[in-house]
Amino acid sequence: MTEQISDADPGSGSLPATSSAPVPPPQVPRASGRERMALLIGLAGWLIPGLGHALQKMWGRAITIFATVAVLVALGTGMRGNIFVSSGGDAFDTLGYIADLGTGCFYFLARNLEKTGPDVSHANGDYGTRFMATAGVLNLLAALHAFEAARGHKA
Amino acid sequence: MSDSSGIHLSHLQALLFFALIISVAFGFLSRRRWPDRIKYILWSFMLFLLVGFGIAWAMYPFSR
Repeated sequence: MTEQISDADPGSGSLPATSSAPVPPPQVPRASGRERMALLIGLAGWLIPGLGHALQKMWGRAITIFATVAVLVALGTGMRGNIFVSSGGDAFDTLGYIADLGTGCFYFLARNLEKTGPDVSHANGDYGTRFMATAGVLNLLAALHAFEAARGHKA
Repeated sequence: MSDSSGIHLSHLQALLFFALIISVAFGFLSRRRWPDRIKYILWSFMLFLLVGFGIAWAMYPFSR
């Protein structure tokens, strides 16, 4: 009888908790299905701007993100901004490449759009470089937002 | 604004355009309700312009 009470509530009574109670196996943190889906949604949002929100039926945000990134990339290439490549010589080139790559599929589109090459000897080309990098960073932010929303966090 | 060598924006046009488009994106991302979004967009747009003009004036003595 004493053993039964001890099993039911180890913290009550005068008897100390015994080690005979079954110990649950340690829980190993695993990515649940929802987490995996959130990761896929974030990835989709990066690859095609706005897709992460569209998959969650956040249409306003999806359209806005797509339009914003598209317009910034179009202007960046139209103003002959620099589109960085992976074989950059220094840290700034690498950072620029990461920022540009943030536009997802638009990065490869931009490289094909800019037929005449960059011209950063004028202010317009410099602005174009910034517009392109901003589009990438903004899309990364949007993809992270879609990922958090898919995980169920307030968004 | 656009010719064969690309799109040309003045400094002011670039500032206005950048401030507007980023404010709209931030407004849509960070707020759910339309009145909140509009308020956020206007507030963010004004702050972009304020900071932009502030930095421009701060740099004015060194520009020549």
